[in-house]
Amino acid sequence: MKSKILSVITILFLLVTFVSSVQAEEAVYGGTFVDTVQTNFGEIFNPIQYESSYDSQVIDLVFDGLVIRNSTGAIVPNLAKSWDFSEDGKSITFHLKEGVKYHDGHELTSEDVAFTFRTMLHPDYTGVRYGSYSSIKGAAAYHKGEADQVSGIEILDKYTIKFTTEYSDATFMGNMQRGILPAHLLKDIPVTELENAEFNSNPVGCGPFKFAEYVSQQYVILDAFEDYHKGRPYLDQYMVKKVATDSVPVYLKRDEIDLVSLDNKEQFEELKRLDNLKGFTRVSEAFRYFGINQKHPLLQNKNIRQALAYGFQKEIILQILNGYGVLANGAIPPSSWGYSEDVCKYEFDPVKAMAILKEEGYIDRDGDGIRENENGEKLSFDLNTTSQDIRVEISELFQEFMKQIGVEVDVQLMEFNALVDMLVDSKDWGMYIMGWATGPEPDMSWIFHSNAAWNDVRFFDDYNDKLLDKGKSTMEREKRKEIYAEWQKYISQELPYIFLYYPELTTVINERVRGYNSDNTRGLLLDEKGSMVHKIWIPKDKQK
Amino acid sequence: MQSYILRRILQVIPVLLAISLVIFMIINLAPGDPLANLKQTKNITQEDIEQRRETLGLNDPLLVRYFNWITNALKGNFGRSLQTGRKQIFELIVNRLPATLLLAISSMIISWALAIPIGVYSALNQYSLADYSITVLIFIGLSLPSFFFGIILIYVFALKIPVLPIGGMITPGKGGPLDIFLHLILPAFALGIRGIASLARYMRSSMLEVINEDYIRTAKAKGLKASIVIYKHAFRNALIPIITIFGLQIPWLISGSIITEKIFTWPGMGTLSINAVFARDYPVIMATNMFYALMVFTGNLIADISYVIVDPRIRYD
Repeated sequence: MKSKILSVITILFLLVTFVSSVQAEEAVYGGTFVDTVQTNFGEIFNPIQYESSYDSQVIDLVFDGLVIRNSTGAIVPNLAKSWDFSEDGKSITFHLKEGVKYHDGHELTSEDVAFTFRTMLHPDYTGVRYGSYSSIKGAAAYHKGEADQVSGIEILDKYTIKFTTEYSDATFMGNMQRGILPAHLLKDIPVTELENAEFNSNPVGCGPFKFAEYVSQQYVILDAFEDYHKGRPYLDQYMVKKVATDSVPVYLKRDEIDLVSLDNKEQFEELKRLDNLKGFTRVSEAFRYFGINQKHPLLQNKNIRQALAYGFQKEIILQILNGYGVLANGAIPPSSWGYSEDVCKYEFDPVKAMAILKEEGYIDRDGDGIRENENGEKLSFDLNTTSQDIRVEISELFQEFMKQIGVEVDVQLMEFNALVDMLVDSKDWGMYIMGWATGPEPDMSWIFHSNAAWNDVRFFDDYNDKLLDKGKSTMEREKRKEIYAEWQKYISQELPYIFLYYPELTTVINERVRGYNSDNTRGLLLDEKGSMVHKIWIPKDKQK
Repeated sequence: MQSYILRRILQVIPVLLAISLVIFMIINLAPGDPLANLKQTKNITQEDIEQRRETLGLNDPLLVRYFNWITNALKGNFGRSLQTGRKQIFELIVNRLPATLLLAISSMIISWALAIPIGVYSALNQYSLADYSITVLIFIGLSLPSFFFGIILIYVFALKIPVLPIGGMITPGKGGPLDIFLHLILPAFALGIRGIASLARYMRSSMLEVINEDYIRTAKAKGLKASIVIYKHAFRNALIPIITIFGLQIPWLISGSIITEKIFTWPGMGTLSINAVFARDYPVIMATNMFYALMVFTGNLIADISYVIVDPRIRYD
């Protein structure tokens, strides 16, 4: 009994010390956080003009949008405190937070919001974001110069703005994350000149950090914004430093950088074991695939495509990836609410593959190991890849597996640029290996719809289009979920792509950093309220 | 001599024009597209890209584009980069050139200062153990890729003995000559040590050739001190062919070292031009290549002129 009491007391004591030690970790202000970039910036730090995705790393810190996607992929309030949809789902009225300040002290109002979106629809706009907002009512007329105003953008009062779209579009909210520009600084610059504006290398937004210093190809320094609408960031400074990929381990070991994403998985294994570092992995919202030319004389046959899928043991890819990936059977990432498991998985079955090919009339008639049809046409096609190691290895493995079932695959190495050109300009290619970054939104009509610009495989299918259109125009999530489940199943049968895997991203963060989201579902700096970069902090004794 | 120089300068005009035409055609006919990175992006439509091409004038016929480019270039306007902040290309080059020059000159000083004594010593002690070991080391040096050497330097002096910066040109928030100097040491050595190898080989063979000349034998025969024979007679003459190498190194001085700059994140011309090639940033590719072509010409001219200066037997008329 005594010992029991004793042990209870001990446990209580331990608990108290544990709790107090957790409490002792109270967030403090100050310090510089060093983030990294391993490629050059495009140096256009403007949310409507930038073209390099590396620029958005800085843009997202300097600018805030009306809404933001949180760690679960849902849209949550940011500059807009709330919004309501009209009955037909075509109009959204945003209620802006009051008293939001730009870095220069100017207040953000609905004028700024209207300015930002109107500029992207302007006839003289030189950037590439018109297409994201062309569904706004009256956008086309304004863009052509036939109207003076965009009828679908209405300022109701200083803090209320209404957007109306031509048709109900469930993906529209995703586009409302765009950073809001300060109209008072930009409205006098001609729209054609915006891409060359001084503003782009010294931007002013209303995000958590203000732009302080940029040294080309070296670093960007951002200072904490005292009047940030979600509260001043704990950090004093946020630096994004350009580092050479080869030197990343040295920077980490010397505590010179705090956050870096590593492509080299062996390096990741080694570094995450160090005392001063922590490693995190997450499945990316992107997939790798074999695209199959739907107009190719052999591959336009669905049964042959399915035979190829049965003949390839996909699991081997995981070995190439050192385990850092998840096999894919569809396009929608597993972390998305639209993801469905109920699809054709094409478990490795060479016997079935060969049976299908035989049924289609492809038999090895001349004994050279390659099947041909009765006209003597060989079952042979090309597979095009960039020279990236992993893609080349996967292509060569595929070639090997195809040989086993009597299919000849000719692997062609190309430069990325040349490969993209070939997909569009030529019609003769057979297959290629590539990847898409999709984000959590399950709408994939921009790749798979018959009228999609990036439908490189020329997959034209009415039922597919119907499902995609329905998914996009339906507003309730539960109904959409059903539609996308059906769509994923359908695509896995039609097989315009052989889906390969979702790559796993590996990130290393310095042990001194506190307050980030270690769930890492959609990144370390996102929580259920969206970006939490203003909440990360560094203990006093570890600030430099 | 003056008319020779004038002739050479006049010759360069048609050559540069021809080079510009050839480069323009090659880069534009090569597969790829400056907007290719946009093609892999969600929410950017075909029409968006089409409009962008139109704005950038990429849809015009090739010859029209060349004509536009050349008329602007002759006026000194090389246009804006299609990427890097859409900055004026002139401004980009002016920003990058100092970093490249600083690195190139420092590494040249290192390689010349070490290569000449090594070459001379090696020649004077031909077929000795020292000569053989130097030759072996030189061949190792020639065959070692500079990135490998750069990584070794980082490993030793930035990780094992962490006294020097890992990369970049300035410490954020610091700057100043001392800070830049500290950042310069590793890349300058990585680049310079490699230069030693070939230069020392030149120096050695040039010195060997000279000490076997009759006038050296005469000098020895008339009883001059060995040091005077070697340093006053032989060394000066052996330097002549080496000096012309300096002229030939000028284009290299400007173009920067792509690999060393990459490893040490040094913001120079090498990174600028290679990124332009990968991004199909046509105006930047054109501008940097024309600049290099001009430098190759200048370097050759300087080499030719320096022949005349150091060797009175050579005349151009």
